[in-house]
Order: sequence, then structure tokens, then C-alpha cells
Amino acid sequence: MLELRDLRKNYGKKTALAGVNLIFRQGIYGLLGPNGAGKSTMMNVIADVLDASAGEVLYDGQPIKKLGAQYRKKIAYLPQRVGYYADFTAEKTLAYFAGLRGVEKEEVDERIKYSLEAVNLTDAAKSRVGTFSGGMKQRLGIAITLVSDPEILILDEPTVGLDPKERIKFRNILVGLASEKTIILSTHIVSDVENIADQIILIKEGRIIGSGSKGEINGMLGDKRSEDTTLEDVYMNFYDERQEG
Amino acid sequence: MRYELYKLLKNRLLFVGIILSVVLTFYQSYERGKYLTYRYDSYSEKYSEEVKNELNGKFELWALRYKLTKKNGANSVFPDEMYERAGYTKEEAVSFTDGERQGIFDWFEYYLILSGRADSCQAGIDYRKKVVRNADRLRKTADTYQRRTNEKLFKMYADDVDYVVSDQRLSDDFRTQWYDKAYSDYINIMLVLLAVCIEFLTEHRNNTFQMVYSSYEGRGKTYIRKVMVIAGFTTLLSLVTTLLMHMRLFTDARAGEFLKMDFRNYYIHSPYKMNFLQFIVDIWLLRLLGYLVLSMFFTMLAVLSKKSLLPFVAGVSAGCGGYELFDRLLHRLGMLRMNNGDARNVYHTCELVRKYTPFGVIRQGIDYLTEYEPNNILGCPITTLTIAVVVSICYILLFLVAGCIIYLKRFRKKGV
Repeated sequence: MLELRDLRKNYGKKTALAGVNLIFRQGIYGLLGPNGAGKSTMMNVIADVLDASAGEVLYDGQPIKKLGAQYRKKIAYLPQRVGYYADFTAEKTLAYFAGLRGVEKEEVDERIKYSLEAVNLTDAAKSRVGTFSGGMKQRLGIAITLVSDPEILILDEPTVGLDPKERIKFRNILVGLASEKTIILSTHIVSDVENIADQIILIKEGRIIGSGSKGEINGMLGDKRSEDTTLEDVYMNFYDERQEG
Repeated sequence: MRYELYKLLKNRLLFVGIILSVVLTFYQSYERGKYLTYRYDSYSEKYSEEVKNELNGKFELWALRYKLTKKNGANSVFPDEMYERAGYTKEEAVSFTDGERQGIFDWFEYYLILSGRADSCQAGIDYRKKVVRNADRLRKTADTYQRRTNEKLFKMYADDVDYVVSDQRLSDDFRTQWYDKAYSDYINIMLVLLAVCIEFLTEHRNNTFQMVYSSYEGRGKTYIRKVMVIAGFTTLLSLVTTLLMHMRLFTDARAGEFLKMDFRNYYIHSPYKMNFLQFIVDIWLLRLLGYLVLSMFFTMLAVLSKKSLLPFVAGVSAGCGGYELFDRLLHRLGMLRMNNGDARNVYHTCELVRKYTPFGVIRQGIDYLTEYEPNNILGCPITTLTIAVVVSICYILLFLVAGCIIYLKRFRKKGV
């Protein structure tokens, strides 16, 4: 279990996170919010790339700062717009990250094979990453997160650049993994979250303005809710109201 | 670690840079070798009798001029025909300035060596024995030791031209040939910088850094692996450059013979001797130390500057230019002091150390604080050399640790 306790992060005078309290268990958590809402900062703090200004992140009741490398062994983080090493092949890139994530040597080949198959890149295993299209790079990023079989996946805008078919495949992969892993997903594509997230978190100006299942989030609309309401409608409506307010 | 190494090896720009460095080093080595063989030929029997006679004639002329114009000779009475043969009037010879006398002395010494008369020096061997015997007692301040040595040498030249012991001129020439600034060193410095950029800054540019940093082994271990790859690359670069620079010693016997001559002349002031292998290892280690200090400094800057690749490279290039300017300025100051007639090797004593270590000001400071020792390696007092090595190692460790702390802490505080 991952817990964010009164998490705050400031960049100078700018507040990126203003006291976030959340608990992540197994399942898919969809993080929604406009640009600059604090999604990436939150992901960076959870991934232990950034230090919080105040508050803490706990893994199974232990602060992640205390757990250090042991915590990092359990996570895989995919940030936005990753370019990778252009001269590496896909296979080499995965082997590199498998090594960094502490995958046992005898398991590396098997994990690489599994990851490439999962994102449909087996045929491009020996190709240089520099020759990959944006979509292929995105899929490679997902393969990198899978290569170490982590307990927690932190994915920042992972479906950007994927075509609809790939996005559906990607969702299916995540759904398949969700039974035994915690997946924290940030995206602008609301339909991704709508279709697969067990829990949806709405964030704005560093604050959590709503969280719960799709039904619970829809319920936040109160009287405006109808049978045809989609999450996108709810989110836009909710965001506009808040903005006006 | 192989993947960190792979990042370097697969980089085309670095590859092209290495090729350029090798070609330039090879060219410099070739040019140097040509000069060495020419110098050797001037010593050996390969010159025609005509050339030898001409050299002997020139030697006689400049020996005579030196005798007539040296300070204490100005008061002596020489036959008029001697002045005539030298091409001066007595008044002219007496009125020469110290600088002009020095110039005459330099030419005299030059032809002394070229004519081959410098090659038989029993007196030099005896002198060296004395140096070895009295090494500790001879320890004086730089100025005192140098002044006494010069007085002794001048007296020898004046009294008996059959004997020569190498003075600064030959030593300078020696250094020029073997230690003079290799322009491939500048390319190598840029290559080290590029290697640091590839290892540390590329990940920031392509956003892979967060993935590396959030991984199990993405902190201290990754930093150490990167540093080890950079250090390995630096070591290899310095070794290849040094070997290429001196390959003439292995491929051309005449160059080797010339070096032996220079060694003999050079070490006349020192109780130490050095063979070819020790000589090359010595140069390699000094070059390596300098490169390592720079590479660790670059590493510290790289983890500090993060994504700012362009200002970083521009800053280092400006630093190299500034260093070159400083070096030239210092050389001028050194020469000015020499013209005053004292502390002739103010610049040269620590040239070796300064050349391959990046902090000339500190080295120069050490030079002034250190006693001149007859115990020296290629003109560098061992005390100075030891201090320089220790200081360089301290710098390496300091930059290494500072870089590690910045790598582990700064990114986390400032955001990505």
C-alpha cells in the first residue's frame, strides 16, 4: 500500500502540491487534471525523483526515504516525452533498464521477451531506437516499465502518440496487470481513465478536488448528472465550474 | 557498466573526435620525429664534411665572440686581430649589453653542440658524480642554486671550450621536443568533455534521467559506473596520445639515440636517471593526472548544470582559451626574468607540472614556495612534483565527491 500524507511541494513561491492525502492499493488509479495542476510533480515525488517540501510518501507504512533502494526496486516510472538512447537497440535498452532495476541476470532474457511481446515490439527488438517512430518509442517506454515486473507502475501520459489500436492494446495490458499491481496513471485522454481506472483522482492547483470510482466522481455533479453523462463531461463541467468559482 | 561504456562507444561525434585526435597526434609525432632525426644527424657522422667544417667554423667564430664580449673578458687585453676575426671592434665588444651577451652565449652554445664537441665530456661525468654525492647539500633556493650553477658553467665555458654541460638552452630545446604543448591535448580535453556530456547530460536532454534515477541502482552505483567509464576513457586517451607522441622512439633508432644524448646532458644536474620506459610512463602519468582532474571537474559541472549543454561547452572552451592566454602571458613573464639574468627557469621549472594540470596559478605558487632541488625529474624538483601529484589527487577526490553529492541531492531539491 502506498500512502501520500499531507504532501506538499513548492518551487520557490509557486505551490505545485498543497497538502495531498491519498492512499493507493492494488488497481488502476487515473490521475486527471489540467496542465500545471501538479500531476507530474506528484508522480516525480512518488517515484522518489523529487523531494517533497513537506509531508511524506509511505510504502507499507514505511517512509520511502527510509526504504531507499528497496522501495525503488518495487517501482517503475515512465515520465513524459522520453527520448531514450538513440544508438541502443530496443533489446539493449530493456537490458540496460533491467540491470538498473535489479532484475536477476538469469531472468533478464525472459523479461525482455515478455515486455517486447506485451507492446508488440518483438520484430523491432534488434532495431536502433533512433529509427523508431513516436508511437514505437512510447511502447518501448511501457516495455521498460514492465521489464522488472514492478509492484507499482507510475505512468505519466503513457498513451500520447499511440494510435487507437495500440491504445486499446495498452489498456488491456494494464487491466491484465491491475489484479496484482498498483498502477498510477496520469493522462489527458479522459477515455483511457474512464475505461480502465478503478479509482479516478481529480487534481487542480496542487489540490485533490475529487477522488473515487467512476460512479462516485459522477455523483459529484449532483443534480446535473444524467444517464448519458461521460467522465469527460463530468470532468469538463466540474473543471469549468471550479474555474468560474 | 558495459551499457555506460556502450553509450560512449556508439557516439559518432566522439568517434570522429577520437579519429581527429589520433591523426593530429600522429602528425605532431611525425613532425617531432623529423626534427629529432635531423638533430641526431647533426651529432652523428651523417653530415658531410663540408657541413661539419661549416659548423666548426661557426663554432670557432661564436666561441671567440663569446670570449671577447663576456663581462670579465671586457677588461682583458686581446690582440686586435682577434677582434677583427670576430667582426667586432674592441669598443663594440665592451659596450654590449647583458642581453646581447646572452644572445652571443646562446649561439656559441648552439654551435658547440651542433659541431659535435659537446659529445665528449669527462668533466661532465665528474661533475655529475659530484652532484649525486652532494645532492642534499646542494639544496638551495631556486635563485641561489641557479646562480651558482650558472657561474660555474660560465667559468667552464670561458676557461675550456672542450667541455660543455647542458645549460638551459639545451634543456629548453629538449622540453620543446618532448613536452611542448601538444595541440591534440586540447582536442582530448574536448573529447573528455564530450564523454562527460554523453554520460551525464544526454539523459537530461532526452528525459531518461528520471527513469534511471528512480531505479534500484540509479543513484550512487550509476554515478560510480559513469565516472569509472569516463576515467577509463580518459586513461586510454592519455595513454594512446602519449604512445603516439613517442612512437618515433620505438620506430627510429636515431630519435632514440638523440633522446639518450639529451638524457645524459639533462641529468647532469640530477642524481636521478631515467630510461625510456620510465620516461614515457612519467609523461603518461602526468598527462593522465591532468586529464583526470579535468574530467572530474567537468563531471561536477555537468551534474551541476544539468540540461545547459551549450553554455557548459562554451564555458569550458572559454576556460581553455583563458588558460592558453595565461600560459602565454606567464611564458613572457618568465622570459623577462631571464633577461634580467636571474632565476632563468622561473617559468620552466614547473612547466611540466603546469602543462598537464589545469591550475597553473597554484602550481606557480608552489614553485615560488618550494626550494630548488638538484633532485629533479626533467627539471621538475621532486618536492614540487610530489606536491603537484598530491594536490591533483586531492582535486580528483574533491570533484568526485562533490559531483556525487550534487548528483544525489541537487536534482531532488530543484525539480526536473
